[in-house]
Amino acid sequence: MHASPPLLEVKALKVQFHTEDGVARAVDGIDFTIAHERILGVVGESGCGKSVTARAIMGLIETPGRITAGEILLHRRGGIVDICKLDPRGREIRAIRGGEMAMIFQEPMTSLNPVFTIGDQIVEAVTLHQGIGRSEARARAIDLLAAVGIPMPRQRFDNFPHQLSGGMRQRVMIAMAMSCNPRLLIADEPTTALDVTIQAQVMDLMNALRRDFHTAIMFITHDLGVIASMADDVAVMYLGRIVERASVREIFKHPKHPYTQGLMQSIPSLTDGKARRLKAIDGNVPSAFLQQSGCGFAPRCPHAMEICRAHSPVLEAVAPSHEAACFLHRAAP
Amino acid sequence: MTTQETLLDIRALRKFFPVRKGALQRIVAQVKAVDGVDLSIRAGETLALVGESGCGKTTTGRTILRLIEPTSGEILFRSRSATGDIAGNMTDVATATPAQLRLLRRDMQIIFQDPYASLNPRMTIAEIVGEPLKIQGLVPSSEREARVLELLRAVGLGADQLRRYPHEFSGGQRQRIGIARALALKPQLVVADEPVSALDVSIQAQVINLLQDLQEAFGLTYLFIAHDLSVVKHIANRVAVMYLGRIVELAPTEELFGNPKHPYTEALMSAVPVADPDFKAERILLAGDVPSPVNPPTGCHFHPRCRYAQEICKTQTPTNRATSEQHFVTCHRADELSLRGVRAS
Repeated sequence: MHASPPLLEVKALKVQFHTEDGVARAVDGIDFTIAHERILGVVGESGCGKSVTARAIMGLIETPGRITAGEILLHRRGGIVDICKLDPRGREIRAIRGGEMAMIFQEPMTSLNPVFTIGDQIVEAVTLHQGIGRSEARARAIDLLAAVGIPMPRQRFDNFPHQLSGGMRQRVMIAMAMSCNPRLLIADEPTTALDVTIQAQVMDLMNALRRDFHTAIMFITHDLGVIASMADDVAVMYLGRIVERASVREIFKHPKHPYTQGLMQSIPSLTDGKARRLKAIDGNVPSAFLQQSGCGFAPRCPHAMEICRAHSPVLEAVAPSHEAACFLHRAAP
Repeated sequence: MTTQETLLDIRALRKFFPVRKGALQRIVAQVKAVDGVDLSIRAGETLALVGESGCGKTTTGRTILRLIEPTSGEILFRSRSATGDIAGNMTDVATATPAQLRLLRRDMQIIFQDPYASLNPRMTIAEIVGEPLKIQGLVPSSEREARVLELLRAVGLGADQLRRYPHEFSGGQRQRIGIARALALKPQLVVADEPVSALDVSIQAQVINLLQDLQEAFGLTYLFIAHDLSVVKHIANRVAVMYLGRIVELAPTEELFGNPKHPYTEALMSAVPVADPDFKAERILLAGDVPSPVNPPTGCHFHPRCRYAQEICKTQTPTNRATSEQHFVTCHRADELSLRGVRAS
């Protein structure tokens, strides 16, 4: 897809949740690669499996969830390690998590501990992974708070999470995630809970971090506008599968999968002229519990054919560096 | 589509929430959620109220329906049901008696943001949508179900869904149920408080289209409260921008987006990410967060974050004035600044 070597390879990953209501196939066989210093945007609606994928990479799948198949290969300096094979509570995954890979979540209030100051929480992360003393860690934490644009970092160090606004808390989360110079940052809807003016600040910050620290980012969001302005490569997920994958420019200019096309046509845009009606996608997002044969999007797809209801399409090249899982394009040259 | 008749006229509306502290629960401060809002809505139009969280847009919407008691101000509404008691046959919602309020509610209804929290999980869809009819006693109970079914059909649901409970529906379907309930009494004004922001992207367009169809079919007037400017640009006839409890700019939609006059409007529009990788975003990054409405800045509330601020902005509160017949702005420098709107591609 591009020149830089892979940092993370996900192969045929499946994650299932066994509950009283049945088996939810949250992630149903996905493959993708994140290269060094690239930003992969993952788009999808609620329940498409994008957050579960992120948690699987971090080794954070909890019962009743289980990785039932596949590999998550992290290319480390000392060799390749399969995260699926590590003990989820073992030393190695804990060294990777927070050290080489870090994650930030949508709701910064619930992901910070309310009874410790933000400074103490960053210091904890730094001392744990870098084995430096407390006073040195304190200095590093203050530097980080300054780096993410928190005014008066020395004073803010002693604040509790509730004393900060939502945008500030997300900055603290980013500071904590960046504390150990991770090579991969997983950002799960990091700006969704924020106002647009604050979202613009956080997006700007994340771009600066990539530039300054050479961090690769997996950016998960449902907002196509955010994807267009942040990502290098894009993967579109629907019902636990990747239905389309391409560079950001290619996918916005030439979307091939009917779901991607539908999404792009259904959102009103600031730069559009006034249209009387939006082109909506029919139907509803089905439950992951449903066991349906064929393509998951077929019930809502305006182009669905006989074969779509019987067989599941797989990702195939539709153009250079552009893949889609759709029978419409299979015969295409 | 738009007649010039004013349906709702809000004058100097204020809502302050007391901040209490200590053993005696003394009032130590006021949260000025709505701080002197003037707004009039014309029959048949969609007026959007936009702003960031905490700007007072939801409080304004709920105060109009007296779901929140206003601190001061007038909410004049031209109701068909409640008899007018002041000039022009308008009723002041702010001072209406409980009996008058009940009549007023036939003509003004609300659609809530969260379709998961706004439907009673123990009631069937028939009961939820039929409840306003039952309370108001407008339709005999024998005919109620037929009317409910008619409403459900209008929002794209069917007879097989009458006996089901909210948990059996998806978010988009629940929002349709909430819309059917709001329309049960054939209101004139519907306050739609972020009606699509909790929905999945692929469902939002369905609900936006539905709201537009219903407006045409029933001649509804919408106060559309939202933070998503792309949706607002699509649906609204006029837009009011709120910041810290005050309206800073009001104009017809095309005019506001093409030719903004307030620096906050300019910054807000520039911050919206556009779904086009070739779009050269020139985002205006506002410094800091929205200040606290307990202790808003002096002068113009926006001055600490404004890149055009001068001395006068720190000391004097700007007044709302017209820059053209339909365009109102609250900024000292509105005439001299040339601000950037949204370029159509």
